[in-house]
Amino acid sequence: MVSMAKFFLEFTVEESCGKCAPCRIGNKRLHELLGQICEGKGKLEDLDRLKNMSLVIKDTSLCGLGQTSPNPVLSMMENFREEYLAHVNDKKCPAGQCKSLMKYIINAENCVGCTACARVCPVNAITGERKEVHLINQEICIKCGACFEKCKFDAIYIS
Amino acid sequence: METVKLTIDNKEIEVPRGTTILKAAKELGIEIPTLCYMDLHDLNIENKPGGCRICVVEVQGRRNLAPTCSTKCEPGMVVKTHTARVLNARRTVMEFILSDHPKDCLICPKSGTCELQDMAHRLGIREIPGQEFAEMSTYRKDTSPSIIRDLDKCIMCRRCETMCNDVQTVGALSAFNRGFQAAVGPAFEQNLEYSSCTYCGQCVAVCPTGALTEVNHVPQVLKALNDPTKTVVVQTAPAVRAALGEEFGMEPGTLVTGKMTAALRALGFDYVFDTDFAADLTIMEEGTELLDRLSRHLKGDKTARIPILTSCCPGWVNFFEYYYSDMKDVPSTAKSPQQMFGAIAKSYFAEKIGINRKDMVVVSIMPCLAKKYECQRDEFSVDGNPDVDFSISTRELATFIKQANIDIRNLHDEEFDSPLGESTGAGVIFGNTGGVIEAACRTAYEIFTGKKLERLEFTELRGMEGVRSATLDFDGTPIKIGIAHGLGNARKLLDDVKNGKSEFTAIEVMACPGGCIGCGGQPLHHGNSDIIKARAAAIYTEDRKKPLRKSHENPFIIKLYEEFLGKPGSEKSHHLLHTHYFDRKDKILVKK
Repeated sequence: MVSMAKFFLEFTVEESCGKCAPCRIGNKRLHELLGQICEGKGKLEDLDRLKNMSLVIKDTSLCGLGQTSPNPVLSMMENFREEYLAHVNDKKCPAGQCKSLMKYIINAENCVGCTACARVCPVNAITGERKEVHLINQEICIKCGACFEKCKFDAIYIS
Repeated sequence: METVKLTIDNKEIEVPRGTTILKAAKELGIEIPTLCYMDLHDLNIENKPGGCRICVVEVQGRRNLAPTCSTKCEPGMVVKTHTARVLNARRTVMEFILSDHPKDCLICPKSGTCELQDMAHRLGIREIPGQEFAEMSTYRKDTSPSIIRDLDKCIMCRRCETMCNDVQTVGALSAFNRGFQAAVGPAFEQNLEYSSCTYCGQCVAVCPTGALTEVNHVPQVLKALNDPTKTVVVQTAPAVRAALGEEFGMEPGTLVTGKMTAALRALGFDYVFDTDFAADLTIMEEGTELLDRLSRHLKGDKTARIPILTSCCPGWVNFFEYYYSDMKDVPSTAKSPQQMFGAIAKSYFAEKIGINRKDMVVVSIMPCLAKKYECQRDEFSVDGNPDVDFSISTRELATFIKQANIDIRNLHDEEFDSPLGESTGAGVIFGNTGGVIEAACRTAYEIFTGKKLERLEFTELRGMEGVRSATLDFDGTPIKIGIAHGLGNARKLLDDVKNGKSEFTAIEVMACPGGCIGCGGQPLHHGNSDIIKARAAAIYTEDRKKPLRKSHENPFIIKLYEEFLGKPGSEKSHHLLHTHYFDRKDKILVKK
């Protein structure tokens, strides 16, 4: 839901004409703050800021675009507050949409050591000998999902 | 008149229909903060794009907050200007604006006079949340001969656009791009140098931030002053003495002629002269040209173009070179006083004190930013050596004086040096709208009629209306005079001339509202026309104090003609004191 709100904001930032300050700058800042939360850099007090910024943009913008652009943020924060809390408190994305917050992990029980995942990884994040359990280096992983697609043994799961 | 009753902060008020909430609140003594809003009452122009959203208030029954600058009062309205909702919104919007503004206030040329800084202070902003990951909108810096544009500091108040398009009708600035990338600039994102900009500087005068500033020439002047091989001569324009004091906390309209002269001498200028002397010289040349054209016209000579237009104002010259380049023969060919001064200083005066013109540096103190461009024009130099080397504005002079630890308030009055510092009252009034033509009439009357002019003050030529006209009686010959200040007003008169409908004999144009006293290089007046009027009154006071008030009676002008120039309009005068005009559209290259 956070990334969904961010997606909507992307549209309004793009469509803002630039005449009034709250829409021109405010939407941009709203989008940036949602980005921070999606990356797991959000804090609990950011949720209050998000709400305040949204209400002020609605209250002060000159035309209908700015007066409605924060609506997705406000309604999602109201109806899916637990998702926002999961982002800022647990640094987790329950919907599995925020790449920064998810991990591809190899389940040792299912992995047969076929090396298919290691061969398809574009950044060489996966190591392991043939017929042995492989391991994904989270520091290097770019979360492209190629290994996940390739694995025939359901050994890779998203956390 | 129909009125409406409303309540603002529990106080009832009745105002004429159509009044904005902002003005109604002001009548009640409630100062709602504004940022983009600008009111130029005398010009009947308001800038209220409703863009900054700082002036918002709560109106009962309204879904969102209302911007007071552009919301009209309605009957029964209940307005609250300082509820928690309003104050929070105002603060948050201000944080938005500041989050996209550089924080280099310490080294910003506008520091101390910046309206954005004042507003941040007034609203008590102490931190900008999220600044560490906030992207800033940025744009390339544009430096022209007179004006620097730093759009990183632009807050999109659009005041410059209002000045450029509505007041001056120059049309050099307008908004481009959308959203976060929106900015203000010339068409096709050209630099100012390649646009129709006249360098009048009115945009600089109204810019609330450091986005538009003048090019600073003080360092070059300082370098010249410290060069022992150079003789540095300074000239001061009439409008400077009526406004410089404001930069030092004096009341608008305080004359500081003597103190300014003392300060310039203390700064180390070798000769402190007065542009008013050159203004007297301008009258001799321009007046002679006027009478010559008029008498030829009266005799039925079709080649004599009437009306004659004044050519003292460089912003105005740039304007007609761009928009009326087919009428290059209408303005007087006389140079502006600044350039006449430079030409005489580097020929007659340099010869007199026995130095080479290359060893002389002429600095002018001007209220004007277009003068910076004017002195850099190719035609005003000899072998690459300009007649006037540097032109600095009133504001620049004020900072220079402050930097040099000179306490101008406690200086004793001093006199200008001789001979190029001697002037008449006619030279002084060049600073006001209507002043040039009044000065010209004082001389032209006496030469044309051969009689002594009894009434020196042509009050019918004075005033602050944008376009004025008066008919003067030159001993039976009616002389119809037109006056315009502000280029938008000039355009009205010029269109008549172009269509052959103009009945005027002579037209005076000054590019800035109010004349030189309201120029772009003067201490900022923030649209307050009372300051302009006070400066105008000061100029007329200076005129009245002068023992001689007609240019042709200036003994040093008479001496200059006897010793050097011959007579007004002579070949030597033409060579030194007259110029020609270009089609500026040719000079504007489209930069690929």
